Amino acid sequence: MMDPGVFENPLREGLRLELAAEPCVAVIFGASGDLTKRKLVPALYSLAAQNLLAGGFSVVGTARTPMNDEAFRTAMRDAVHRYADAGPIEGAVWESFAAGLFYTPTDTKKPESYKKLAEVLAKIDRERGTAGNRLFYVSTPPSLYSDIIRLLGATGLNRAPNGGWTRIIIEKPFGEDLQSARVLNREVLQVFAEDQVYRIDHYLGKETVQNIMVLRFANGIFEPIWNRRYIDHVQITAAESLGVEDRGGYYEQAGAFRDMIENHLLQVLAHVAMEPVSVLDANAVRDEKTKLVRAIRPILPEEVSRYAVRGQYGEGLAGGEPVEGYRQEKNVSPESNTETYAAVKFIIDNWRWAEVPFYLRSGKRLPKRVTEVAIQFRRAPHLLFKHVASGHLEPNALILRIQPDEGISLNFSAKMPGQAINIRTVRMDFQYGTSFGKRSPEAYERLLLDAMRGDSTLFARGDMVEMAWELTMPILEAWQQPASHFPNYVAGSWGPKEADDFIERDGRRWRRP
Amino acid sequence: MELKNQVQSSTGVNVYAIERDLRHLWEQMAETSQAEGQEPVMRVCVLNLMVYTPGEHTAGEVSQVMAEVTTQHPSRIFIILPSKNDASAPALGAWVTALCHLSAGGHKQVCCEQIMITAEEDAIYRLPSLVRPLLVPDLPVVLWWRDVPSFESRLFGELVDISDRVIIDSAMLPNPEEGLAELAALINQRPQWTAFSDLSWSRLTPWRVSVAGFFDVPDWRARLGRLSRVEIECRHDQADRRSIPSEALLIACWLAGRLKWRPRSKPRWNGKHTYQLEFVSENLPITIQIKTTPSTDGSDNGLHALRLIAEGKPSAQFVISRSGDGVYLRTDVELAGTRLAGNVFPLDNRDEAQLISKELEILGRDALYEQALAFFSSILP
Ligand SMILES: NC(=O)c1ccc[n+]([C@@H]2O[C@H](COP(=O)([O-])OP(=O)(O)OC[C@H]3O[C@@H](n4cnc5c(N)ncnc54)[C@H](OP(=O)(O)O)[C@@H]3O)[C@@H](O)[C@H]2O)c1
Repeated sequence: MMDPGVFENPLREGLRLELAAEPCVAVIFGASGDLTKRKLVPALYSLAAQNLLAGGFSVVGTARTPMNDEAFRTAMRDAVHRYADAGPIEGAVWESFAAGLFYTPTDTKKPESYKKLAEVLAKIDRERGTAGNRLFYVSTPPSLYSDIIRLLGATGLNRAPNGGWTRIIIEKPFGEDLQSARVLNREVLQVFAEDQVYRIDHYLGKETVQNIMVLRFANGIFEPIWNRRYIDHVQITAAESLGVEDRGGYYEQAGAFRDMIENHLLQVLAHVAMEPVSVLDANAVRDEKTKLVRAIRPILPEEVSRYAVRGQYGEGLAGGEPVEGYRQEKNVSPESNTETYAAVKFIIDNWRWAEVPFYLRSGKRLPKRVTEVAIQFRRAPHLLFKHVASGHLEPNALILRIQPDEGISLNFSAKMPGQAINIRTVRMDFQYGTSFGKRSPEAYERLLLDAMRGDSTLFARGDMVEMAWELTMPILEAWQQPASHFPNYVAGSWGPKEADDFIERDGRRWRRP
Repeated sequence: MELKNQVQSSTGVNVYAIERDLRHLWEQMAETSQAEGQEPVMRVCVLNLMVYTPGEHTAGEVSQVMAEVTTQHPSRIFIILPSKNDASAPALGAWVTALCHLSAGGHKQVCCEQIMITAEEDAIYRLPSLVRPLLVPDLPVVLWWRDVPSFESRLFGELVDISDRVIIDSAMLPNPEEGLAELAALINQRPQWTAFSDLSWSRLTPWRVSVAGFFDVPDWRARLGRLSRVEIECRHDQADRRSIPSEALLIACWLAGRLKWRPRSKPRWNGKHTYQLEFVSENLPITIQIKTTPSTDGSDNGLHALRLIAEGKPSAQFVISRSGDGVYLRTDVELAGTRLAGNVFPLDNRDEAQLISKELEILGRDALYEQALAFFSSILP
């Protein structure tokens, strides 16, 4: 819950952030890892440079690698230099930020580690005035999540000393199936209360995803047509042009569905389709999203092939260069059954969306990197311009582009100049980048700041996470069956032919983003 | 790419001619980009921005600021300036220019229109009627009065009438004490949809955020009720002339107003360079001292340090200071003489383009600014 005390600061009123972050210590498990370097510390530095962190804010990094504070500071300086996108490091700002960076080696499986950690934290509280407030960030391999959480509880680090707060951010993936997600949720909730837990889904930190709500609820013109009467179907696409790179080991266990659809795209779907909330409050928003996911029609095991398609890329050409097939990639089995492409059709059984299909697809080695939501409207009810070949008359589509070139476009028909009535589809384009030259903050900046301020709106709640797994388990189970048809798409193409057949059976086509 | 078209005729400039020239400008740019195989030019506009500046020597500076501002806020820009009376030249002149830059994504050329209009002193009253039909419909209109605010002048009044937001800089007021009170009165008279902003107030934003930041910590918030002294140090061109920079008055009034301090006496000079305001909160007397020193060359004008001193055991000081080069702000808390961890961060509002860009992010009225002004009027001698 938000700390009501902060509202009592009479000087805060009317300032850009009405709820500020109190001083705290962020404890990063997995501080020698990739995510810490590429995202977490650069995001924290960027917050510091914008004066969004409280004085005394500190970071304690921890992992097995032996390092002292100085070595950690040097490594983080390099990381910020390389990955921060807010401009060059400024000496004086770095000095004051780095004074709050500490490192203590631990083996997360050993209780002694946590005792040592507690001592370090107590010392920082005394010396830097962090008042017992702690933000744990679990960024280790997922196999360690349980141990860390259990031992934080066993050593009393789950409750802050001196009336401070303790929160924990847990990286994705949250479980690898329903069973493991339930176990993890249970373990977490034995040690922490739900309002202390921040399950991260970095898609929710992206400006454009947040903008879906603004577009829908701050504009009077969209909501009245945002339903089955006017919308024919919705396509949500997350395409990657890259292959698995050096994440083959992880990807073999995950696959496209777990990696993208089960979490990120389902969250996006929830934003697009949820009912309006009456207040912008963490639980109100998450209640509505959970209600929406609950309304998605479950897919029965025997129906999986009607509702979902999988694919795996073979060798091909990407951007003109020959590339390997998935099974030839590093750390991938030559007989791999893992899908690198997945598409699914969800039907939402409620009044607003009855019979409107939501098609979600994601894949690697597709022609380009793009994530978008396309709202396809119904055709005009009465075709006045009969002599115009109707094939040329595209129905209206509203496209919400999430990356790259975040923006919104609307396709509609217009008459070409001339004596005859020739109708063309034109596109009205709005790009955030051109209308607001301002840099969009990195997703991790927003999410870290929100967690420090105690705002969990943009984090996944336990019930939603379990529901998402429940919904997708039949598909994942069916896909345990060997896929004798793999590989079934050429790297650099828009996915397997099965995916085209799948949507064409409904009389529709995939958009070419 | 920057194209310039000049619209001028002996009968004077008219709206149709300017509109025709704007159209030509876009056609020309589309052709050029096509011929050169570049990305098509995108036309984006989120607001109308009128800038009044006193003469040609400053118009160049304004153009440069606009080139920067439009990268964040693509707008139709009007630069309005008076020119000398000259019987041999037309009374009104207009120039249309395109300001183009690459979009944040990097591959779209975004262009905005800049219309510079000059009017001879005798024709200056004709300006608003020329601008009115050229405003892009439905988009907000912002007036940046980049001159000494002249609240009484007809041109100012008419331009304010067509604006949703008016930006002035109270640092330009020759007598800030009087000027701020006049502004407070003016805001009261205007319809409620006209918002006023003040670049001096914008320069204070990081200071106010930092002051507030100290008291987000519950332990320190308890000290708010125990403040006994506030020291504000500033540099000033006219430090010898017993004039107080408006920034210092505004932050003092914001603080006192927010904390509900009651005036104990009228503000007064205490020695040559110290201006003193006295208040009482609950039962504790509080003194705010504003100390001015002459600036070296004008570039280091403004607030330099702010110190809040709170009674208690041990006593606490909350200090914000600007680095010598003016680049950073630093915050410190001192308990019984020991410094606790503070922050250092770069000031992101050091030049006009940054200040204006930030101002354009806000559209509504700034209640806090208006409260600070009103508070100031209420304690004046
Ligand atoms: N990288 C990304 O882009 C990304 C994106 C989304 C989510 N994630 C998630 O974020 C988490 C971290 O990813 P990553 O890419 O940073 O992984 P990584 O580079 O492999 O880092 C893992 C970290 O865990 C530490 N660690 C491993 N075993 C440990 C133990 N027994 N005790 C203490 N520390 C231990 C490692 O340090 P030592 O070897 O020094 O102990 C290392 O710092 C994962 O859960 C991943 O799923 C990552």
